[in-house]
Amino acid sequence: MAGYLARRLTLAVPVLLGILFVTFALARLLPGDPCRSALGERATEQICEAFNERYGLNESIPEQFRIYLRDVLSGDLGESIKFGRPVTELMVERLPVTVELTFFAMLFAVLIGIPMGLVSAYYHNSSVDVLTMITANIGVSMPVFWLGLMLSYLFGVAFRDTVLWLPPSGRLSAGISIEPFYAAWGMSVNPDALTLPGFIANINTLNALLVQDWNGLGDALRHMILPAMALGTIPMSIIARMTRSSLLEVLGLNYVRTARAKGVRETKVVLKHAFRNALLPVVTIIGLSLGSLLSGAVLTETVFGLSGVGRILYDSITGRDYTVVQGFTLIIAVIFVFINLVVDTLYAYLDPRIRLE
Amino acid sequence: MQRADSLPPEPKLTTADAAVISRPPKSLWRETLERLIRKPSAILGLVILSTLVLIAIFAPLIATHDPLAVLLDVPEEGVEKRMSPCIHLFGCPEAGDTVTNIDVGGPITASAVNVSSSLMLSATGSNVTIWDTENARRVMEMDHEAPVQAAAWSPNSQKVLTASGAELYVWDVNTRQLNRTLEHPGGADLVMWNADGTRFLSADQETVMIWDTLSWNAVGTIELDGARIAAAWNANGTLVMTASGSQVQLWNAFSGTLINTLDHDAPLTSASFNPASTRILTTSGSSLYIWNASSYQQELAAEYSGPLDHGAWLENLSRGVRKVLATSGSTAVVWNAVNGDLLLELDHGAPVERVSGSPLGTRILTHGEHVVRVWNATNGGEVMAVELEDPISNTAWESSGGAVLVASGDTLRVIKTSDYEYIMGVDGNVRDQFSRVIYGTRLSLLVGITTVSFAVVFGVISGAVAGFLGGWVDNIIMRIMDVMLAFPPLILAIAVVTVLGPGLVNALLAISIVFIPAYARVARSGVLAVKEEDFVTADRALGVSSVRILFRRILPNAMAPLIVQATLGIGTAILDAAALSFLGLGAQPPTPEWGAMLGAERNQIFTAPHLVFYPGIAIMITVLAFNLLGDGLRDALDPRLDR
Repeated sequence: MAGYLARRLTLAVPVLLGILFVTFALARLLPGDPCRSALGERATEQICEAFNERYGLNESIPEQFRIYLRDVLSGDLGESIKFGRPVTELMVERLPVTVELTFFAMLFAVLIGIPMGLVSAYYHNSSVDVLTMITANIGVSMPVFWLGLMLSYLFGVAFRDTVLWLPPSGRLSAGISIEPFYAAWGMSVNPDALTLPGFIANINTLNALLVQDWNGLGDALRHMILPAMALGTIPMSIIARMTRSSLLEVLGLNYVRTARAKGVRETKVVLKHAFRNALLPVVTIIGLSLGSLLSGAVLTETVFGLSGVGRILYDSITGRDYTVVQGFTLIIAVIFVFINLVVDTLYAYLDPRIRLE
Repeated sequence: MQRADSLPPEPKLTTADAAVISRPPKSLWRETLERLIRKPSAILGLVILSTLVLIAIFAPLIATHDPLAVLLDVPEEGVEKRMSPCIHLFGCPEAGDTVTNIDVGGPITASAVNVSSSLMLSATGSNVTIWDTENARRVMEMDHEAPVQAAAWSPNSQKVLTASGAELYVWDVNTRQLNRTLEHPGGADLVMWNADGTRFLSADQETVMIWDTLSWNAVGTIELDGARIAAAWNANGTLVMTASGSQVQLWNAFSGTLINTLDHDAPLTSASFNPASTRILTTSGSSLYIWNASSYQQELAAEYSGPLDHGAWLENLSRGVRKVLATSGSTAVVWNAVNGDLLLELDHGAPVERVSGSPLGTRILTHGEHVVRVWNATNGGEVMAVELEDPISNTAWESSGGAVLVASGDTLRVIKTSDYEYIMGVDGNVRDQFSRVIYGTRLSLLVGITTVSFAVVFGVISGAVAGFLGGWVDNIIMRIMDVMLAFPPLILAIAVVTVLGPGLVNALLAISIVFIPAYARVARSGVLAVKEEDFVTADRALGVSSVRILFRRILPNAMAPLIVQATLGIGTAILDAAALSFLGLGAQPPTPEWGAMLGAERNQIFTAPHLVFYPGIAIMITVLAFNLLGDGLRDALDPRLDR
């Protein structure tokens, strides 16, 4: 196991280096002058000179890359050109939004997707099965942003004045604020620096749970439902399909037939004997979907007015904010590589037949 | 994969080409196809797809309008505008349906609708109530001491002016309070604001008073010779027109002094300004006159066979509509306002109490005591007729012209007048959405197929070369692919398209690039699986060139998973291209691309969901078709999965 992990980590090194290079190159390739796009009308020759000096844009490209590598390795991701704040600070602010969104989307996907697949396989070839699979097929074919817009219309407007009404945008209602848990617990934390408490405090639901602000928790959760549904529908459908086909495959195996021959109840055969083994590919697909959720997050955050990673990435790419583009794509790519590593390891761990070499 | 079938039987070793037998047997493809058409979902996918292809090919025949044309000169009215929250698939109110029905609780003596048609007011006895037009809710109540004779909205809908007894009441709609009371001796039965809400007039049968809303003083009082027939402001509020006896008089609105008098031979029955206040329409006896409101000259006179009662304008200069209306008994008559030609005679069937032209100048509304009719102003066809039990006291056009507001008995109604000329409505730039969705099929199919073809070609070449050569070439190529796969696809595509510049072609290129690694991986694993097969070894032994072995022997045998991946990839590519366009990085307006259409109207989601609904449904159906086909192909090519 340890040997496998070490080998995977060494393999990840060139990939990470490549990612560093690509993020750097992409940022430099963006057309347009960062000074002009950041300062607009105020950008005179002198001001731009000072600006380039400040952000190290005067150096040659290889020199810039060297400095970039040095800074990244020492944990400094630079300062945002547009916001004038360190990128790490922006991450504390934005990353939790996306993490929270992704978590709830995945929760939705797993909680609905797996039962869907289970029911579908259990009642194989029945109308329930057909209906579930039609739903799943439609689910993977929907544009995320469209689903988001339609959901916000349905729950925000059509169900207005009913109990089903849900806030169509934002993270918290006006007038509601949740006290950061570190303040409630009397910890002294610099809210701007990249610290774990600062990060956790920005995950509204978790923070509300920590300070036991049930009102705030309810409000944060209500704001999460629609974005999570919009973002989670595609993984939900994929998980449902995967659960079904994997379960059907396992149900055809000899040991299941043996169990049935022994007279075990069908429910028990499916849930106890087959389901556990069928879960293996589902776990993989959940891991893989986590990565693609980040793509959908850009669209979901745009539709629901959440200022998360996706949103800031889009804004900074179109606004030529080099450092933010570099920093955030880097962190996303690293998370991505890390998730894949975890999934592979988990897969091997769950299935002892796979040897880690 | 049926590898056993593809083993060469007994190669004749005379020429190298003899080993061609190692190609997959034709029957594999036939078998696949046979299996494919046994799957209902795959058939469904194929059917949808061929329909889409047909729609794309015959788009010009199916579309009802030019997808790029702005429909400014369309003669129809009451079309589903962007402000109409109605999705046709779910059923929309049709012409003649009552969409809002408000029971006021007593006979309505006066009613008025504000400029945007969002609020209506009704006067019942001494009470005036403001209602929300859309959900029929009570917005504000105004109680008076005496019965209310008249009420009017200020142009900005912030104030309501009512006349009750000998008092005028000014109400503030925002604070829902009485602002002040003014006195009109004798009691006004008409109140009217000027266009900018800085002045208003109040009138009884003999007197017209002009008020200023800064000082709240009466700035002028006009004494009429006879009973008042009409009183009106001109559009910029400098003139007040009054009609009494056989005279139309124009007064200076600041001083109340007489400017000019327009004399008629017979007693007047009506007088009105056109919307721009450049002309005045009068009816008197059986004649109709149009006067120039700045030179005070008579421009046109028309005779009719019967006495004329009510005159009205039907004018919309941006659409080139210049007509006038008048009623004669139970007939509404339409003239050309430029040359005086009689255009239409509309038979209402009962004495007409009021006639009015719609805001866009394409429809005519007539109402008698019990029946409301809407007519097409171009050909005189009847668009709608509604019969009500209670006598009708007032009618007005909704500001978009898509509905009429009718007050009859105790009830205020909003009645739809629209028809279905535009199946999916009209978008924010007044273009026919249906035609745009139809033309969008072309782009989406094109997008899906071109991006995936590009990605497949480059992916397969790089993946196959990597797998075939192995060693450091394999390492380098696959590490590059790993780096690309480390980015979420859409974010990488956004970055690439930003580097290349926004636009449909660049978006396609970006998506293709992002998709390359997926195909490279599939191709590589396919090649690796087939590389060590005996028939390849045989080829090598025969001295067949590497390129030939790779492309003629190995790749055809590794094709199946690629075909599946490509079919499923088309769906994803369409989704991603739509997403890029949605974000404003792909197809640029006015291109009828579904994602771009969605992006352009996404802020209208709460007011006009149908503009977002239809393009999204179109995307979904297309992607679904490719997905169904892809799934079917996968099962057909790998029978193990078939169940």
